[in-house]
Amino acid sequence: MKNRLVLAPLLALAAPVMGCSSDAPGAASLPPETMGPIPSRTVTQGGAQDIGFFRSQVGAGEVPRPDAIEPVGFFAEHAVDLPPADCGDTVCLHANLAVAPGIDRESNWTMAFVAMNTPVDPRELERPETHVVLAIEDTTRSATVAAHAHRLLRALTAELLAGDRVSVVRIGESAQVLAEGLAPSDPALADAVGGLTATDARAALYDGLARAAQLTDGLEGFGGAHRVVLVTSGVADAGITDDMRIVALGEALAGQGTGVSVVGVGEGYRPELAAQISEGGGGSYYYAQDGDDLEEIFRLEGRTSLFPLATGFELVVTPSPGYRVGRIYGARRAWAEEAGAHLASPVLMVGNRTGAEDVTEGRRGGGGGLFVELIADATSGMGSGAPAFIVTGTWTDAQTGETVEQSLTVANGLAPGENPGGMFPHFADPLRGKAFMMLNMYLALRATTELYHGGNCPESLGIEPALLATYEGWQAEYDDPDIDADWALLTALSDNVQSRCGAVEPAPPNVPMSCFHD
Amino acid sequence: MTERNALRHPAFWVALVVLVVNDHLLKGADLLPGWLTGKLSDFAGLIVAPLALAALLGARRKGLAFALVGGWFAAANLVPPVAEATSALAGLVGVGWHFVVDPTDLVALAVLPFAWRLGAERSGRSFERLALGLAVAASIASPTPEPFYSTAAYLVNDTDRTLEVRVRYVDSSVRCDEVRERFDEVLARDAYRPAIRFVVEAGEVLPLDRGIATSGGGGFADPGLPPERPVDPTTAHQGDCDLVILGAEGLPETIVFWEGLSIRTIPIDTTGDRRLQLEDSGLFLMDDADGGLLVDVPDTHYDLRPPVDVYDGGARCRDYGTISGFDWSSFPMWRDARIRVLEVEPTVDGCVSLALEDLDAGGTHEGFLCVPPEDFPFARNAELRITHQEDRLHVVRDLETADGDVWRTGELTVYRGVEGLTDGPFQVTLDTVDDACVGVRMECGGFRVPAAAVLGVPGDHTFVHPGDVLERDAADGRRARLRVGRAESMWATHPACGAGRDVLGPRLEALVVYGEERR
Repeated sequence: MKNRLVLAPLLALAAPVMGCSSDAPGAASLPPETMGPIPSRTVTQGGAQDIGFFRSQVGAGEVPRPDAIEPVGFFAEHAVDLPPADCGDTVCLHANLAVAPGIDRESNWTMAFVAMNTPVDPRELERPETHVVLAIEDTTRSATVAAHAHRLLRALTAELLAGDRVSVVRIGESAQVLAEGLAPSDPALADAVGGLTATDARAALYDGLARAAQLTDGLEGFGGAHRVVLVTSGVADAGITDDMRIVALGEALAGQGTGVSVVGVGEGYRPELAAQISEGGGGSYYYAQDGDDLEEIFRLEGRTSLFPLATGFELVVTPSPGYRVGRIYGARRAWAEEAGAHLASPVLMVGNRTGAEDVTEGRRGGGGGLFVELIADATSGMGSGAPAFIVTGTWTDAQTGETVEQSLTVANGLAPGENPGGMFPHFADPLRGKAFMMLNMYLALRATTELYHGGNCPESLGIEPALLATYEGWQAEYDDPDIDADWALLTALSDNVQSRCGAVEPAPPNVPMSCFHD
Repeated sequence: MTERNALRHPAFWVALVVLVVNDHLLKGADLLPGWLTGKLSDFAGLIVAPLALAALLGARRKGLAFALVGGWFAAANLVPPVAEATSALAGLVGVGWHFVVDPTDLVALAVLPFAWRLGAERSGRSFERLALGLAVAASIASPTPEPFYSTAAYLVNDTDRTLEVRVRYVDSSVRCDEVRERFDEVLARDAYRPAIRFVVEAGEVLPLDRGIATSGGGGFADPGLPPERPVDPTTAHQGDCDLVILGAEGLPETIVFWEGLSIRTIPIDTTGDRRLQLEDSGLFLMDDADGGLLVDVPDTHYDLRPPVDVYDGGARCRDYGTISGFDWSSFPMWRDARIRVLEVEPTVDGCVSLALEDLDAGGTHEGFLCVPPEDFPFARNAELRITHQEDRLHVVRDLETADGDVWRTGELTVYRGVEGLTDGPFQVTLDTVDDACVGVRMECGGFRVPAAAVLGVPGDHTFVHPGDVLERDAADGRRARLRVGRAESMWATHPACGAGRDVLGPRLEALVVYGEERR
């Protein structure tokens, strides 16, 4: 059932902007001069920062399983231009609403979008001295790390301050401390990573992480913060291998204030355990496709992950009369209740991008956003222009320790359940429709894999052509590098599906509308 | 007797005639059942072919000739790639062989000793050459045998049109006896592999056994959609069962579970009398009155149900929180080794960090023991004796008293992944304790049933739940403490479930710790 559930919103939004409409591409409705990048720095949730593993599988000619495309990681690769971060706090909340007809042109699809940005530039932010413990798997599975160890170390230490400290733990059949509490400029660090040989066959992941944890406890002469960066192939096959134990160790570290970021490496990468460690450890989560990618991640980790803006972030989206909550996308933790949707993330960090055009250092750190589907009740009697939802965010400011609360009310220019004239979506803030295009691309990728894995080749192949007009219309107006990269990925994925399905003709995806209201 | 003599033996000639008549007249004529004509070819061929090859190779190589023919025949009937290679090689030289794997054909090997002993009176060389020529021709010019499959489960397209059938093999391994009644609930759709599409013509048979179906082992049309990973022809199920999700246009997705089916030889279609051979043990896809499809199941070894997408049985299970098992680092496999504790410290996650000196073999070993620190009754500099097995770590501290006796001051045994244990006053097995809890479906493709430790002493039926502790007096007067870690039974699992949950069956993790002996 899951494979059908996500399709409806995709098609609901895709359909109006493209082929199934006789209207011109809707993007023309938006004044392009107002869509340029507005300077602001993105805010990320931590957790998955990319869909690198999904991308690497597609690059290898495979059709990944649907759950390989992690929505938080996908959205984090997108920078959505937001209004200036002038709310007066270090984190500013923004919200938008899209209303579109469904695939049948009669039903209604209403989606709330929430995102954050910040005026903070991490390069100008004062932060406590930090002790970074690199816990690096050193096996044949993770040979990329040993091969690029020195440049990775340079990338990381270039972003650190003089008062920071670096330790290195080698994880092979057992754990071994190669360096303990050295200054970033200490030449002994280079000697230490020279001890990575990629010769062991198995990894004692627990032992390595536990050894790293010990290093965060009582580093002599150091009173700052600690952070563990675990580089792993995702396989724990020596020593204590119980996944729950390993995840619990990451949680225990997070509980004492030490975040654990996880960098996945290797062709045989197993994402399940690594993702759980990252989730429990409250840090970032990446997958490095090669040495260059690994270097970028180390630089990014040194630059941004050490700058928590807020902790204990919670968001409540409360539907107004005439609406109820449907599906939720893009939050690390989310649940729906009668009264509204709850979304939570243990930490908010400074992103690495200032806007959609800023991709000079890759697409990670875009910030993305959170989506909550609102199911409209056309019989509610509510008129146009009434509030559709209220979003309330609360968090603890990491700099001041103060609790911050922000609240926004977003109105729908249409009555609940009313579709816009023509087939183009109605946006509460028409200047910022990219978020919904981003959601479209996510749903397209996911639906392609779901339909393929369900054995439905024709409809899986039908996703890409169904979205083509939308993509072309959007890019003609905005030429967005994120959407361009998404399209390249969708095209490659569709090619992989075609190569497996043989001479099968694409068919329009056919989704039972009952699923839309599920 | 020479091999040339053998070619003059009447039995050789009878076999040669049977081979020619059977392959060229009887097969496909619907005069004899397909299985009989197939076996006739095997028996006659295993007389004719080795003798003909021996005659070609010479008397000294008679053994080699028999070994080559017998070995090839056995391998081709057991190993699909050998059968495929045989068909391919034959095709290269223009012979239309289509060899089908069928282990039941191995019975024909019984005729080889008989062929070995065949002899004949000497005769003219021209007669020998005639016999040899006919034998070789008959052996290699045999027409395509009547195609058939050797499979336990199969599906028959019993409609009058071509169907595209989607088959998703289960990717997890299961305990057949446990999932038999609840196979629809135990595994989510994601636990099944990507669908493989098969085009099955009207009246054709699709074998469902792994490897046979996916190797195209018989010539049915398979238009593509290879899986991401090859389908392993074997499974890691405990028991003789398998599961697939079947789908086709007009047929809602259906989970098919089968168990206890033996491999049998079946024809590839329903023409002629072949239909009779298929009727009692397969699945039949038929048209229903509404224009859709239905699956008819004449055999009780099959069970069909729609997938259960929303399963909430796990919600009724007792929440043991994040209780995990007991585990330890890769220490050497010590056998009552003398070990000194150099360092012992609790870790941030409630385990014990150890540095141990091996007093027998020398060397220092650092590692972790994941048990509650309060259950590790030994201090720094203590001299211990440790026995380390894969599922058990036993640690004792004995002191010699002034009068030469041994005084045991502490003892700890940690059990990892066992089905039960007997230790002092504790005889422990696993059992479910909560009738409302019918198991937890796991995202990794596993299914676990939470359990508790049960003390099985007659007259005593005490449950010790995960995370709980029970103390009793041991027979020697020491106070013994049982602590239960993880206790559950895995009905289905997958490597993605991670170590500790990647093995089917019950799994108990527990420790027993004793205090000091009385002095």
